[in-house]
Amino acid sequence: MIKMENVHLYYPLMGLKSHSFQIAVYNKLGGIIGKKNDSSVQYVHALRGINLEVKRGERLGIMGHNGAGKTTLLRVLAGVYPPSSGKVIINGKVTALTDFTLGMDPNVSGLENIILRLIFMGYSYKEAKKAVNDIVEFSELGDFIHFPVRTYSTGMFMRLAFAISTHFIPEILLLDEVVGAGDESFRTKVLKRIDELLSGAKIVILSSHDLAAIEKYCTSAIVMDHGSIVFQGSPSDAVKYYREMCSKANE
Amino acid sequence: MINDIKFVLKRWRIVHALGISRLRERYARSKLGQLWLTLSNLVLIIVTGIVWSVIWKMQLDEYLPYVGVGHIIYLFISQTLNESTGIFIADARYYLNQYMPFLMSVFTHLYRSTLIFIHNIPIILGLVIWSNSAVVRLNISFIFSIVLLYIFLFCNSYSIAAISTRFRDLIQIFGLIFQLAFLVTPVMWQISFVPLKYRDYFMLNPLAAFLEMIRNPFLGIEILKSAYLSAFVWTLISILISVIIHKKFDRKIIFWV
Repeated sequence: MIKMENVHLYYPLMGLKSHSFQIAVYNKLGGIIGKKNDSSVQYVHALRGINLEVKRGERLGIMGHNGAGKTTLLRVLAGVYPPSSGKVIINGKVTALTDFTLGMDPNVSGLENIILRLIFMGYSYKEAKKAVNDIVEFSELGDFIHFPVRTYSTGMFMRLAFAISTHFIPEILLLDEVVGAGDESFRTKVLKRIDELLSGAKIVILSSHDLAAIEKYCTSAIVMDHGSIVFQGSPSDAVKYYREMCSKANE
Repeated sequence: MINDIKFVLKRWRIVHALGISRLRERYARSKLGQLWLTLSNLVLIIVTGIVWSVIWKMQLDEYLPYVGVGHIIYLFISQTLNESTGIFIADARYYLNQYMPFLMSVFTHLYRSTLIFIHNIPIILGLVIWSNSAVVRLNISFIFSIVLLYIFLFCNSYSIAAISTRFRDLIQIFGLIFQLAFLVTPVMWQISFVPLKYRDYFMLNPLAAFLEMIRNPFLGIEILKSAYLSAFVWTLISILISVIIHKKFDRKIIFWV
């Protein structure tokens, strides 16, 4: 179960003027030795009073423009960003599949990368070794699996990353866009795997611009705008609301 | 902080995988691979050993093991600290996509540094066996020194990494500090060259204190009492600073990377 109560997040904008030690010191001393320079850290109010409850078996879709706070919300749920205020309660092990290639090393073979990636996702060597055969078969890489990953084409690399990352079905799954990898023949396999993954996980949070995917996979959906939830309801209603919002913005 | 340490230790496999893969990255596709670590150090030591033994008018038999063992240990300490400035920034992608305590990078960094150090142990052994004047005296206080050094490196790597992530120009400043530290640390010269009444002051430099404590047992040279005191106090200070930084800022680092 996931529960968010009145969650706010202020995101400090680093790197504008505030990454410099001299400037920070100068500002602290500013009142004493000179004019105070107005370059204090600026904040973005990235999440504004988010209230959300996702129960077991639910699959929640998140829609919104770029910068509406979708990724930030996913990161708060993954435990990456601590909320500035409010409460986040999560029961269960969260697996964020926002980057399928995390932990992979281009200098070693595909086989070793399978182990590396699974270790990174928190599995033991034993579990990883057991999974290798299935993953090799799924990825259809053939003899390439023995070659260093840097020799792969982008498509092959994504195929391998997808095969590994989706091998185990997680308890709570956070997904940023439904990824499609590979050519036409591989795509049917990918879609089947995604079906298994989404129906197998106990809770799924899917952030996507692909409205059809949200209608297809989700049991409920929210629309975000400027860091707050502006609509919450069934996927079809949410998609309708989002479309209206977009067309209004275009006018 | 304790909880974060437990979290990482439970996931030691990630530390192992990441540590190895960093090392591999650097030497991938070179024929001799990691052997370069050992070779480049060996060449450096032999050249400086010969030149400076002439300058100091010392026997090569005595000076070469001194400068060789000292160099390897000093490089381990100073590079571990200096390179820690960038570890959170380098691992930013991991932290942004999956929850992990920042101590993961610190463990990985220490693990990798240790692996690099292990590559140089043959040089230490070779020098000590080759030289007639070096007498190895490893005892219980040597183990104490090693443990203390690791605590010191662990805490400071974390603190240095955290503040250099926030203030990026500190990366350059730390680089400069460690360059200067080389001059006031007895790597090329011996502490016995310094007049007796000034020797203890040199031990205020933690790098010098730790270097004496780890190097001298290999060569049979006496260790100043002040070295132990300095190392112990510096370690306590380091623990304190890192605990404070962890408590106040750890959850903010993710916004800085």
